[in-house]
Amino acid sequence: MSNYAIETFNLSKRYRLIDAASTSGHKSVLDYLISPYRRYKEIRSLTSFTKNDNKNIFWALKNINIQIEHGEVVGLIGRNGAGKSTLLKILSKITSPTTGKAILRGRVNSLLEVGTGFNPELTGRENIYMNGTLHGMSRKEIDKKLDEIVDFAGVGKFIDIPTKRYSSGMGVRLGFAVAAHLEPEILIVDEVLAVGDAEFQKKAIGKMQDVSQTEGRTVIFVSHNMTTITGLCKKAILLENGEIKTSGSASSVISSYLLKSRELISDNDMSSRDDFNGNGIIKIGKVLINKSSETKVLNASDVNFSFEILNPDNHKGYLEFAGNISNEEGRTLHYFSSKLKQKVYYIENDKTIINFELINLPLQAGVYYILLEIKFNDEIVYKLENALKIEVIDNDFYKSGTTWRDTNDFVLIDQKWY
Amino acid sequence: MPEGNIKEGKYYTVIEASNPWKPFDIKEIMRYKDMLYFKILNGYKVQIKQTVFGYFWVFFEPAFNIIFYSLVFGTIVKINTGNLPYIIFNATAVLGWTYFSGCMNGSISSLINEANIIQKIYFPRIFIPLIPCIIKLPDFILQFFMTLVLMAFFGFYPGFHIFLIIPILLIMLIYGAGIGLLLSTFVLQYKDINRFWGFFMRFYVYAVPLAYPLTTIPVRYQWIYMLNPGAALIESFRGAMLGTSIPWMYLGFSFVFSIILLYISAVVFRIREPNIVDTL
Repeated sequence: MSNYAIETFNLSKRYRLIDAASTSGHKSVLDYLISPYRRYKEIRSLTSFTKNDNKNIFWALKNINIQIEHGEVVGLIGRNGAGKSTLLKILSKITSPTTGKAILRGRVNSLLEVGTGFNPELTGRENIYMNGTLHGMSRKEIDKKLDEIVDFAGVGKFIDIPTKRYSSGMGVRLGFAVAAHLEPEILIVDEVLAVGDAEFQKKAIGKMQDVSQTEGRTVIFVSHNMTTITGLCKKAILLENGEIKTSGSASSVISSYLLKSRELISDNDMSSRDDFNGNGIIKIGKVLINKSSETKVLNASDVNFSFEILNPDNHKGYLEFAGNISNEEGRTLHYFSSKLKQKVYYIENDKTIINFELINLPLQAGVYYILLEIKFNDEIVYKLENALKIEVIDNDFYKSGTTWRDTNDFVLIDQKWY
Repeated sequence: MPEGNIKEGKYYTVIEASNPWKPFDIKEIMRYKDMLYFKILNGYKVQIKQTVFGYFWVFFEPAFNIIFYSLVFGTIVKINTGNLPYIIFNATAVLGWTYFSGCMNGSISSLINEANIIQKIYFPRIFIPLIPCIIKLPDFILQFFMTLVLMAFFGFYPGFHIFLIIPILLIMLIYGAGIGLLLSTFVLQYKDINRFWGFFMRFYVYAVPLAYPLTTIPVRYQWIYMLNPGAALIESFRGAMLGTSIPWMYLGFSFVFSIILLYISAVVFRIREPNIVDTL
């Protein structure tokens, strides 16, 4: 008999997509009067399925077969709606599969959200006990680890204050601190490492590394950050439309994912892209690079980007613009943000142009991908990976008259030698 | 495929359809007993946080009810309660009713109230409709002493029969949890039920001998009336508080009915459990 930590057999999950509150379809008074019956049938159809029933059916997962060995750390990647979260929810018993089954050998714990069950009226201490026991820890275990948890979260003297008085960062840290002190053999983690500030993320990823590498736990986790995946996982699984597209070594799966995702980059107009994260109340439209739609840029020169911000519903508020540049392997090389330069934009019109300049571009010749992110009133409303592809042409960065090229080098820094 | 020889061990999980006919998994209950403890404790604490009156609110609901009934039925309608003052007649039943209705109301909307947690973490869902029935118990104890003070004020002192309220409360808990387990999954899917329940409870309070005595009902219809477990429970509850007669037969029936209801409801809950998150 096999002895995998996580094993699934033809796991599938079906949903019915209906708008149970819809009032459309009322054509006459009679339609209106019989609408309760129609609605009853619709709402009932959420849970009752007949054979060959295809009406509004959506298969979130189709025949998923995975085997994960004990002690393996596996990254789950894929676009939004690919079925990553559904798979994690099934493995953590939150929802059940329509067909197929899964076997998990070991004490399972899942972390799909930081601080589940936190009640803002309760103090930090009370919430630690609530959240910890919800995760299956016993009261005694928490008693023992309480000091460690408080220390890790860095909430100190706030521990006996209702968590509604906490800053959002503190709340997140406390939630993660409890989760970090669980001792499961199998850990299922959704994209929770993406929250909090940079310092906290570093700490959280470090903790994940400890859990996986030194303590030998089996971990399956979702991330949109390819650098995190490469840093933590040896193996990865790529989901696409509810099916496993590829699985295998993390680097090969990631490069096939990036390749796939980069096919979406068509031109400099992002308004028709639908693969963004966030609610999308504000989007990016056309982008001009050096005032043209040309994507070739020269290093050692100033590069101007002009972003068209689309705000069709005329929301009013403060906007921060950020993003990063990564190389072909998906490794982030540079992070840029309007906040770094203390620039905040106030927007209210349906179109706003934001100009951004990279000074004296220090990138090696090659192809780079740019991620763009909009924070509106402190909430990330739009995050688009592989928004742009730029090709950097060498412009004699070192003014030496020769072209220097090393495949392992990406960032150019001007030098002086004595 | 390793079929047949798979058993669910301590740390061995097979994810597939569960067996609804054994709805209560004792092992699982033991594993999550600390969670239950904190859920109940915290649920209790949250009720009083940032309220001026804190625990006093526990007294206000039954007090307002007693004042309302005493004014309308005791003073205006002048319902005949024999040599028992109306306020005592009413207050002893309101005490039981407050717990009984609180159980049912809390239980049927429990899944909606816990939606956030249900979507993010696994723990045995069958606990959720049971928790409100336990959370209401400390309230009951405080209200119980309030009622004793009121009774003493009118010259009524309880005897040993007062201990009978313990089994009666237990039946109320079983019945309330049964109704909650039965309806809470349907309330999630058909939100109409929650609205309907409000109307239903306004009617149900008059289907039990709370505002008027059982003798108001014509004798030949009394047996039908008392087959309603709610009616039998409230009548028995008052009997236990005041040491008057207890309709043992109907109380026994309501006990058996509640046990069967709890089991059937738990099976229904288990059958519908896989859909809970999908119908939220």
